[in-house]
Amino acid sequence: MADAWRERIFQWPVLVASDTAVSCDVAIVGSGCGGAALAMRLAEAGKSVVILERGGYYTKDDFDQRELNMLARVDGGRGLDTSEDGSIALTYGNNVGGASVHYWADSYRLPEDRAQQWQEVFGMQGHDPATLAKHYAVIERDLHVHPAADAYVNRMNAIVRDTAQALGWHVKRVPQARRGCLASGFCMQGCAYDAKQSQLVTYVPRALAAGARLYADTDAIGISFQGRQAKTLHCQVLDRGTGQPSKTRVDVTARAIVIAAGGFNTPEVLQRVALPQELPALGQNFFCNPCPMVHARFDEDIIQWRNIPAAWGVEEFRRARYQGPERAFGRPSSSDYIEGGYLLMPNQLQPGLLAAVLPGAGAKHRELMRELPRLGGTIAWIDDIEPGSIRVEDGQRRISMPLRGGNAARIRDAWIKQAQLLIRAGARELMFGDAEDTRITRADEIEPAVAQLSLRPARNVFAAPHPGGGARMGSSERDSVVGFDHRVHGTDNLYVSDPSVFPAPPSVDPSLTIMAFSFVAADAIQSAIA
Amino acid sequence: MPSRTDSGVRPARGIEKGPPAPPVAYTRRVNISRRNTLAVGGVAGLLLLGIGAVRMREFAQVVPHGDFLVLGQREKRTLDALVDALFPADGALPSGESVGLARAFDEQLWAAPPASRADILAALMLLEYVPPIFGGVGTFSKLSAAARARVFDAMLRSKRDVFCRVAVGLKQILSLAYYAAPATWGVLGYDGPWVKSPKPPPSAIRYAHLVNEKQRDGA
Repeated sequence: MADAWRERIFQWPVLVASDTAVSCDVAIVGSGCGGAALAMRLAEAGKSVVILERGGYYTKDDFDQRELNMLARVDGGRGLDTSEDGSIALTYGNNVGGASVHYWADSYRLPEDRAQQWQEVFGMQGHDPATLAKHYAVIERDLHVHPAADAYVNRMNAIVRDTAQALGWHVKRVPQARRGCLASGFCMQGCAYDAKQSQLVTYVPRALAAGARLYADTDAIGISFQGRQAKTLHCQVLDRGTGQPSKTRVDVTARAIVIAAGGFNTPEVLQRVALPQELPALGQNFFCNPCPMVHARFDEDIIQWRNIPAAWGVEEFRRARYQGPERAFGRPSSSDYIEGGYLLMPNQLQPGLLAAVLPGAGAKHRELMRELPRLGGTIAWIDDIEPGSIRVEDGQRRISMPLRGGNAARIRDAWIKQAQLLIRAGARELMFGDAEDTRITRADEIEPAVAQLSLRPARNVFAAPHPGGGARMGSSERDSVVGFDHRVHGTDNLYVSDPSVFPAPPSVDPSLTIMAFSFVAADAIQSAIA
Repeated sequence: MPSRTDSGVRPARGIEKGPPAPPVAYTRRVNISRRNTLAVGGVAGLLLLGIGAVRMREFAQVVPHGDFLVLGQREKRTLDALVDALFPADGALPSGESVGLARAFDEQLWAAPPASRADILAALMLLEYVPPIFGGVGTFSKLSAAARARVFDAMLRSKRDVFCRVAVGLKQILSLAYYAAPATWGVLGYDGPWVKSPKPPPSAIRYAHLVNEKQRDGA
């Protein structure tokens, strides 16, 4: 009976048999960090909850550690989705548990300077440091968050740690949401051992154990409104074999409807819905942490594909330094940028994805791949400063992210700092992954090489793992989409609970903050429907 | 991460709107209108128009070839030529053909979102006709392997966004599929998954089923 909660999971192919109509207190679109945490809190508070997830329900028994098989299961767009101009690869979940199933398990609290900035610059209310701290403590306990132990430091991690210390850079153990990790290195392919504390093995089962129902393979396509009141969420069941919609419908009538479909999808879902009121900020103020990489060829074996991805991370450059006050996301500034605005991490990729991002093609590319054990590298999570946008045109989602201005300055500085670290660490050759296949071997080549790297479309490869901001929180419907109670402006009972509500990038992995914000949203929704 | 090959060609109306046709009957037109062709990029647009509307129209009629579900005969020929240029057998690493890259590519196309599928097909078409811009004589599939590799490398380094995007996108999809193939791992020194048996996802099972059906029908 321990797994009786599984009986409350409805999915393809059984779900395709007939139309379904259900009612509940709260319907939640999405089962990642935002949706699952919210569902758990509401279900454990006695509310009837229905979760609708577009992707399939997979467990550790499905996770075979093969790159193509797992991309098909847990990656939205099967790894083929990019920003409008092809510059940025979009990384998001398409499965129960959302992106937490393929994330690295890095688990940071929102830094105090960011919490303060969100309050002072963006007028954030109801998510103050004291409130969030209370929720973080609960989440960290639930997800077994702890600093990475020495046993989880692979060679690439050790190189980053030791070299950063030698350079005098602030480097710290990365807090990890893991329990009994076997160090296989297949975090991005979904954990076959249930060691990574993703939503799939934490808040989703807890929500279901408390009575929530989960509909997988179910795509939200519309909402019926009566004035300001969202009445019914309309969904169609997807055929998991083809990814195409069936004719079968699931309609959910609820007292509150929550969109928690993730930073890329929530602004799209809201734009497809005929909201009672036009919201000019919807799809604006978007950020996604574009990530430049530097690859390195060493004389020793690195074996980057084993153990956890990032046991140590360089925090020296998390906050950007300016001549003058620090600039905030999307805000003009007269200050001059000096350096920073990113986390610098060891990189980890299995051979297929590594081959996709290494430079060149043909013989030179094969020669590089033959040195796979000695290949290592780093990646920087850029804290965007210039906003992008998400819009729906001709039925297609179009994502635009400017790689210019402040974003470009941070990317170039991140390339320089990564190269400095890797050269200092003794790398024989560095590659920037650009289409021109720029390679260097000496420190004095770094700045000239980086200066000529092109940021035009497709000239380099940037992953975008941490999207948000497209339905941001604020007091005015002129420049925000939801209020501080997470309710969409102009509606009585439509909410958003995911990083789309963040006013700016959090400067660290957002997963814990998404969950903490969802705890706040749960309190607001409970009060509203009491 | 592999990025979609976004050539700027918008998917045809029939692809982006309305209920999709069952994949087994996936015979449709990639509608590359003059406007969309020009949207691919100035030089590429002129090139494509210069090649002639008749051939363009022929190429746009994508009828799945043999037991493939998406790739037509012409597209498969272009793809085979690219695979042969980028992944030849070299004594240690297997050839792209022997690890089934064309099959893996077809499966990726079949399962891809319609917009990505249309973009990738358009990218293959552009690749076929682009060699004269980069010093090649004739269509891509008719060039020698060395000339194909040279043209592709020139596309990767091109100052024109459209060529670079096409080359980068195709290279990423093929590189991912090639090095994800177990036959390459021993040479690389990669010790592979700890989970011993592969567990194909539902899309792979469905794809294999439809291919089998097609093979049976054709027998």
